[in-house]
Amino acid sequence: MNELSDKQVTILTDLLAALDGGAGLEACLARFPNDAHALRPYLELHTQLLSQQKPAPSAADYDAGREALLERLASSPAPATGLSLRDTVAAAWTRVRRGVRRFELSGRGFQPALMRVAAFAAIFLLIGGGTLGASAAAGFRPSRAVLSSVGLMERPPANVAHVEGDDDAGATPGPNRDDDDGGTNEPGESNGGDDGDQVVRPPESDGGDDGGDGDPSRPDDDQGVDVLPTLPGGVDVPPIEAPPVVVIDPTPAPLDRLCMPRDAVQWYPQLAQYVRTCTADEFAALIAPLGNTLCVPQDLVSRLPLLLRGLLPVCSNAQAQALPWLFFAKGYCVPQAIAQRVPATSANALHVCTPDAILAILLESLPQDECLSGNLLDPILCPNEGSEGSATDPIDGLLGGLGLTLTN
Amino acid sequence: MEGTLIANTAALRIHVPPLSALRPKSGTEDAEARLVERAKERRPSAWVQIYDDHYRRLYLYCYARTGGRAVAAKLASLVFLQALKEIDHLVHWSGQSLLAWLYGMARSHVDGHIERESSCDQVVDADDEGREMAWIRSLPREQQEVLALQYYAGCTTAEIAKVIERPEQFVEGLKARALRGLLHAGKLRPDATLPTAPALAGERRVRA
Repeated sequence: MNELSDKQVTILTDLLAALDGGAGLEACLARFPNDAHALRPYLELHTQLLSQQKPAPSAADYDAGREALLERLASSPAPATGLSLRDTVAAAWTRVRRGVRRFELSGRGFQPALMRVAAFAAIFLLIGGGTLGASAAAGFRPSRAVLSSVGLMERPPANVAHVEGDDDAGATPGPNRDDDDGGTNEPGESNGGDDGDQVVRPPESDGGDDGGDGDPSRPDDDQGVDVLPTLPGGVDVPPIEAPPVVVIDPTPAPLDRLCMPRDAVQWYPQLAQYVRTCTADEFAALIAPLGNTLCVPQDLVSRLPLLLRGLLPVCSNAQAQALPWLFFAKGYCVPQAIAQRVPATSANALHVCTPDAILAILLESLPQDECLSGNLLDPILCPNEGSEGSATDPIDGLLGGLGLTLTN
Repeated sequence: MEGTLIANTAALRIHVPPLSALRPKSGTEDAEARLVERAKERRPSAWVQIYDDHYRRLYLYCYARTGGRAVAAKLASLVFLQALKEIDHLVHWSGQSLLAWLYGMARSHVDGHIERESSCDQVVDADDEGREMAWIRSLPREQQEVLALQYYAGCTTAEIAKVIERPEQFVEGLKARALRGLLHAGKLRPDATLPTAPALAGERRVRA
């Protein structure tokens, strides 16, 4: 038997893939008449191996394995429950109430005075405990704990924009958006002052050291991602209104597409071919079920201490995958343009990337040949759509040429 | 990277699936995700379903690698016991499929078995019919994997790619090299006897 040349091995690889795809043996060989003689034995062996009869496991072995599995299952410990703090407290309180009720029903109830004292003590403990918990939680950002617990290191970007309100004009540009009110952002609190008008200023100097990491004028340097890096070109992006909080469906239907806001796509032309664009309204609708929070996937939460879980908004894994920013994520890294659109309270909890960082992440996660092969997601996202590109709009032209449709 | 918050990926251990794996989930994948969630809750119905769905293919994979039916049955059974023990660590949403997870455990069991047998200076425990399959075990390990998964366990190229965590193109190349190795070494020719299944087909011969 002759040794195959490298070229023939390549052909053989292609033909094996074609055979697996349902092509016929002779049809495959007919494509390469010069190599058919050398390739035929390999393809015939492939088809024989596929059609050979496989030994079936004996019924006794099958049943024995199943029996062993079920026995082990019956004796296996109960899984760790993903109960939130609230659920845990509620369950404990229910047990206490049942116990008290049982005492009363059994005729061994407490004396009324003693009951009153016990009730006051319970109320005091609940209120006092809640107050202590709240004060302990002040300045505490669950997201930071989550991110640090999974090994994320935060480094304030060198190229940053200052987000501020009108009342602190003249303040030293820096990464801290809390320096005007002296506190950390609480949920529902607007950054930068009462009026909530925020502007994003580009840095005065790209390479200057005045905004470097060691600037002592930033008292809150380790307080998380308080500053959003600037957009290329320093575009002012008004913040979007926080959508109403929606109860998260634990098992939502999977979204039928992955979207990015159209203005975000403009900053990532290299990535545009991989994604589908949507309008700002569509994007808001897309993320609305997430309740305007940085949701943490269930399996990530399951790694955290029980006490911490109750403080986190948890989304289903399907929701996490549907998140556009996780589409680009490696360690929850969020494109700048998207972060600018997220309400400030949520933006603080996000890690922000530059376009180069996102591109590097994406390229790193893809084999080189796949990256260069064009629109990978096109057949999945828009299998039946035609090109609607416009010659005058480069984005339309780019996406239209890839069979993507822009909606306005 | 300037202006970037750095992720310590060594400590993070979050798998970033390729773009092709980030497409919207199909109904099958969703069903599998739900099945995994139920299995994590230790529901017997979920485990029975997993066992019924995967036992035969795992058995055939172990059989192709070891050549012994009794050993294959034992190893396949061990895979499910280990799966029960470690199901809580399965991160399904990140693209790791249940199939690939189970085969990963089966692979380590088979490798361990072969290593034990070879360290005892014994012939790998093979039944009479399994000895005919020495040809597949003479190949490099990765090629053995591909042949066992494709021709015995009946996995598609996409499934094999998930199991061995390689691109599909690489799997096709491995397959071509394995076939070339077999034919070139003369261990198996198109007119040779293929491994048979005595329990089902006796001395069945497949001819070109």
